Amino acid sequence: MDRAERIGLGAAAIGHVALFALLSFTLLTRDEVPRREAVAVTLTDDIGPIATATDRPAPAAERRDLEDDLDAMVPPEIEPLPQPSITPTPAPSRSAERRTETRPAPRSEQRRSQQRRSSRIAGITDGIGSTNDSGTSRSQATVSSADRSNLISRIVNAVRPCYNLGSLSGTSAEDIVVRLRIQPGPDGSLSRNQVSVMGARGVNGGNRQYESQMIEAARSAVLNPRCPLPPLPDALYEDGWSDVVLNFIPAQLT
Amino acid sequence: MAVPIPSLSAFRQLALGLCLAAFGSAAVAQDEPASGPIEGDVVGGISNPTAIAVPDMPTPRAVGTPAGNTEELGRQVARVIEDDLRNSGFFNPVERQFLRDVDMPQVTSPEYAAWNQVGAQNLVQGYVQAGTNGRLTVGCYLYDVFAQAPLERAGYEVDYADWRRAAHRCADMVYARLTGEGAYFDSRIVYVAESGPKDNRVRRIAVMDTDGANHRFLTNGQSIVLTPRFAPDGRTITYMSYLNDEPRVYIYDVESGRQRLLVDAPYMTFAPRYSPDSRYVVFSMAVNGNSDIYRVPVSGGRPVRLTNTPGIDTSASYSPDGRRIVFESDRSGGQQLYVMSADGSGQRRISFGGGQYATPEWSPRGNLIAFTRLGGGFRIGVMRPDGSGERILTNSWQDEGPSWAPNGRVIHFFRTPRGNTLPSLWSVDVTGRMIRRLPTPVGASDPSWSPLRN
Amino acid sequence: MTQLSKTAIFLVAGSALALGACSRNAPDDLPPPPVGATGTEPPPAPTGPVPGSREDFLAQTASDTIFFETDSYDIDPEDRAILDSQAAWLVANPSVRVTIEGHCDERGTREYNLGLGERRANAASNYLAARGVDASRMTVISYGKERPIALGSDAASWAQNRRAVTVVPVG
Repeated sequence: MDRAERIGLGAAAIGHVALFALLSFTLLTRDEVPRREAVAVTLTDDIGPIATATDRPAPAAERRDLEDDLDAMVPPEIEPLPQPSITPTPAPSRSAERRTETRPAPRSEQRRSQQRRSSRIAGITDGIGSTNDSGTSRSQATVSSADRSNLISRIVNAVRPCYNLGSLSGTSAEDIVVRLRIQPGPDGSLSRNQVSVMGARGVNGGNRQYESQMIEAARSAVLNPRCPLPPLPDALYEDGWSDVVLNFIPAQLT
Repeated sequence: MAVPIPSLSAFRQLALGLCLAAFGSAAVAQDEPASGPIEGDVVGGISNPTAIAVPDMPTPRAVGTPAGNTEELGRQVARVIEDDLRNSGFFNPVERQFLRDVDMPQVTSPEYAAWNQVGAQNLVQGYVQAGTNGRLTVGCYLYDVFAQAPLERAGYEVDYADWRRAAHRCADMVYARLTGEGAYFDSRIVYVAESGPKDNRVRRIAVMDTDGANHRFLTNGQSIVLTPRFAPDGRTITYMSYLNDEPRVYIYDVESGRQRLLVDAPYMTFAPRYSPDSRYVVFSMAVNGNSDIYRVPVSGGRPVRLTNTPGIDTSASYSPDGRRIVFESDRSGGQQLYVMSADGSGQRRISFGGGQYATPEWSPRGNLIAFTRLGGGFRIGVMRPDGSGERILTNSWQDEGPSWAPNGRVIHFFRTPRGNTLPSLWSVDVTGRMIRRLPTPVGASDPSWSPLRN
Repeated sequence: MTQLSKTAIFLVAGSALALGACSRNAPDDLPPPPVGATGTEPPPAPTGPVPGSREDFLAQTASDTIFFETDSYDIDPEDRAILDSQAAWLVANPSVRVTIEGHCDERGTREYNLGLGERRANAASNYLAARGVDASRMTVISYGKERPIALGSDAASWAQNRRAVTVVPVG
């Protein structure tokens, strides 16, 4: 590197830093981004075919979806298995399901009431969204937006280290995008009943064999105890935002 | 010196990302507040082996069997399953010191919370039971610990002597269910066992289970033997032998242990491969410096010539539907890959990269062809049957002779170091990850996978 | 089988004709008939090797081995001189049958090298036939890369292993 190059490079570096600082500053002041913590966020008004879900399907129906889902994962009747002579406690699938189903019961009551409330709030916030554009009640909406951003990015960052593709990595399975809805409790707790599969995109003849594995990889990411979800701020929870939709995208598109 | 100036919006994203240390999401805050469920993208999965627990299998009644006490068999079966899963590269079995004892009732009603605590994502439980019919039953249950749900279960009844096969089949069930791939543990490998110095090498045909167990030699080493291949029906093995100093292709009957000459010709026959229906063998015959490819019924008979060009045409391999054959030929100068119809018509070159291409083998899935690429060493690679999508999977001095596992996901080959050394068997995942050496009692080359046993 | 034999005869003839074209020199550069042979054909001394034996062959010929370039089966002038001496000996010992082995270095794949070794053995055999040795007295066999004589993985070892060897049976 000759002298001129060094000077040029130095100048460029200084310029970059200055530009960075300037823009960061304007960004922070103008947009009033809360200086809290990690945020990388998607806020989607239109979530495609699932958009109707914002209207809060009856909780019962929702849970039935989940049951169908899990049923699909348990082969209905595999070859009759010779039973050991000591008869174990009830049939395997049933007992397992009951265990997991009974546990979150108290919370599901609570959730139901929240969901009823949240459907009302959904209507209200729809209104807020438009008033915001016209400049009224700005502060409330801005805070909400920031908090939502903050929350979703914390959830994504919590889940991502446990989104493990394992054997599916590097295969045509990576074309499959799985969409999950999770309904964590205020403390971030999540049981499998609070996870439902909303669909899988990109499934084709070449990767259909991996579809259920891709769904399970996404489900395991949110249920893995090593990647607990952050607690939900009470205010947000009470606004009915316990519903989170996550798109699991195996590989960054280039 | 030009300084690239990023666009304002791009820079804002960058600043945001850096300031806030966000990763894994390409999303950006929007100014307008949104209603309804919040939504995020989890972008970019990681790829780690899945933590799986395979505790010892209990027995309802400890009984002595010709293969050992059922209590001990329960421990052994769990270890075989664990080893299979570990060796696949996709699973990380929980260390045995962290495993819990499982009693019979727990087999069908696992303690999810406890398994969760040891970090297991999946759990394989089962039991081993001696039947009144002189056979052994192994029950095999697969659970998703995080979701607290059973995933699959199966039972296997085998002769006592075949207890390892019950374990392999259980491991196959687990592997297939969790990966979406076909099974392959319950299969065998035939290969050339090599011992002695390079200039006085003893070569014997040997077979073993996929995990190296039940190893035995089929030939005694008096003649050079090369390139064994299992018939798709598993009944016979074809290979080349220098018996009586006449290098010829033979058919070995696995059941009876007898071998017979495939084609009675006064020329060298070599490079035999079965058709997918096990009815035919394609092979090369060298006639006065010119090797062409022929087809003949396994039972013998009159060979039909499939190629007829000056040069060495060899290493033919059928597509799984039996309609096409890939082979190598040096008709254009160096070795390259060609595809033709099974009757020899429509010969078309498919490899065009630098160097040379040899020993093609068509995947049992039909979607890929594995090969040896030459040029500054030998490497194993795969390409689509039209020659596109070439990927090199290995990098060593000499990696040669790919052979597909029955599920089309794993490739075996042999690796030879420089100098007066013995070759050894290796496997590589078709994605190029997880290269692993297969233990063999002596040196080893020319691996070929048997079909899945049933 | 008869068809195979016919094919073989045709190919033997064809290859013999084509041999010159394969070699690096033009066909009309073929060396004169082995003149040296006339001078080195005294009746064997009573104390020497048994006529027609392997020892005799090795003593009377320039070498039992010719060497090849990488992935080649061309017979070069040096090879010709060796093969000419072998041909002379074989003509002089018409009852001896020989095996001609073709070998390769380790830098080719196993199956291709079987074919290449067979080419090399045939190149030598065809040359000897063109020099008057009855083809029915010669058997060719390819060992591919399975029987090297030099064990290294270096250019010198590879050069030694790319060879065709004329083997007179012992005894």
